[in-house]
Amino acid sequence: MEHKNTERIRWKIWYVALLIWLIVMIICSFLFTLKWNVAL
Amino acid sequence: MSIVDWVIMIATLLGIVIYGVYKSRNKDAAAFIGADRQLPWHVVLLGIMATQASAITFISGPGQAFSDGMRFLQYYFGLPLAMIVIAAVFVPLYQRLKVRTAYEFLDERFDRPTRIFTGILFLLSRGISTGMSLYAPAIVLATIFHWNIYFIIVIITLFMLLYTYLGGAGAIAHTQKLQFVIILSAMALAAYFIIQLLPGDTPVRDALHIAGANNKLNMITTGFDWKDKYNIYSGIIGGFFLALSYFGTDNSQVGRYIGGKGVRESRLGLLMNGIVKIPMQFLILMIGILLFSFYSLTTTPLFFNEQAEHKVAQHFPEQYDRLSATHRQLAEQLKSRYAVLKDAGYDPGDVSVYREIRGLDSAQKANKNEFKKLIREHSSLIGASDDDTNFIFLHFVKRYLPVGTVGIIFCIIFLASWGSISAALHSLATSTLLDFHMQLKRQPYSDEQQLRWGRFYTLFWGLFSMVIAFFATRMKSLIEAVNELGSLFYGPILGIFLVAFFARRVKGRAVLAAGLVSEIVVLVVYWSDTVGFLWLNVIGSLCVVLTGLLFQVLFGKPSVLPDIKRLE
Repeated sequence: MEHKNTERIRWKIWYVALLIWLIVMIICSFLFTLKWNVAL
Repeated sequence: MSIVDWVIMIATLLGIVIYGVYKSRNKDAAAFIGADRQLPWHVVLLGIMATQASAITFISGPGQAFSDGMRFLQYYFGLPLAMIVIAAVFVPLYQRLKVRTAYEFLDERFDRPTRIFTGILFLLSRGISTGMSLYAPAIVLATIFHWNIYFIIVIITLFMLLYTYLGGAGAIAHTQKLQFVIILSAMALAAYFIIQLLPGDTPVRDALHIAGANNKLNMITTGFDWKDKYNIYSGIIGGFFLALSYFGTDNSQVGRYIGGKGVRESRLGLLMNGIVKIPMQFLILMIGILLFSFYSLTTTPLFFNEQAEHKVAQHFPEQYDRLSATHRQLAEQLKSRYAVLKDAGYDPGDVSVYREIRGLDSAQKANKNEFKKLIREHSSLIGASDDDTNFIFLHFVKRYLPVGTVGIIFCIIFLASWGSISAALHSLATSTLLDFHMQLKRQPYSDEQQLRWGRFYTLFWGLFSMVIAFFATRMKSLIEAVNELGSLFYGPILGIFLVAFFARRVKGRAVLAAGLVSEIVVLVVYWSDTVGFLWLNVIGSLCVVLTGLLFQVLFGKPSVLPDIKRLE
């Protein structure tokens, strides 16, 4: 039972990490656009 | 192409085929259909990526960025979210029930008609799109090398069928691993040479400034428009639904990760895909951006499909000379503006230079559109599409890359085609065998019979795809055509699976009726041309969920058995 809970928590950490990774990617894309793209 | 390039290309391709055949030895039906569920996560990952990345991805990707900028990247923003949902909800059930196709799960959860209905939608969409994935690289190779397109289609299909027919899932997984490593290395090589060949030792920084001045580095676009294909909203929401449907319910993808050694390996493969997909796509698009700057600083051809350009010059010399002269003149004016920008350290103080650049760029586009109109109006004479997006990257490869690298880049087209098409054919074959053929049999098949029929259907779908490729007519941008076709069916298929997972009280009849109604709704919305294609996935799947719930409440019998619990 304890092992199952540890497994579950480990996967949840994975999901949250991927979510954070996505947010970082979107923020980086946004900053990249702001820095390099010329909006008129 | 030089002899060295030919030797490199043929040796690599034959090497892959021989490796695939070698990996096909001593296989039984279980290995043919599901790779014995023995694959480690990194093979699952490469399989997932190689299945998604067809030749179109590598041919059209850079061209897409060249023509439309980086905003196509947003299309992938929904993908990591979909990976989380699939890893958390879909994978455990698929693995626990040991399903061999995605639709087998629907039989367990609902009933046989729902499995068959969803299977038909899959066979229809995947069968046609596989033919198109075969046609897309063939037409480009035929045009560039003046080869017979039918010959190329047959060559691509036959060699790939050799190992797919013999080895099934296992051979596909092992060859995809090699194919994808070669593809990524070759793309990195191409990027390196573009940077090296930028004229006058132009640093990458300057190349980015030039692309930015032309609004090509628009990675995030926040303006909302239902008909706009790629913006942050359609990318996250529409992209999420599309990825959820494609990776969660399309048998060509499900077949890859249910072959993983248990839940852990399948999950890791999917989650890693969520991590690497956006950076990989960024790099592919960045090749297009660097190409844009390269051609801006050297000479951009009026049209990247050289064969079509020659034909126009031959049949309409006056118009061609005029358009060509205007194009060259505008290109020179643009170059002089880039020089002004460079002298000002890319910080000109006001926006007047940028306005001039945009004005000249628009004039160049208008000039090119006139050229394209000529092609459209005389399509039977010119015999080519008016869209040259798919020729941009290969134009550079053929013209500017050194001997040896050209062969390896052209190799990518074959390898990427094989990687995605072999997985598609295998998924079509297993679905036909398990979801349809074996359901009609009263007595179960022996292992040997299953293997024989599995191989027969692989051959059948290979030939079917070839026929579709033969009949494929000219399309706009091939990358979008394939995606759009998928979106017509993916929404309702995903909706049925979402009901299966989350709306526990909805039964088979209600979900089947909802699926039919939603498919009609999606087709009507598509033909009315009111929304961008990514939204069709959202509309289709939500429509199934809502109408499914409604039908169950209105016509369904009350049930005390929550189906999903039984499955768990």
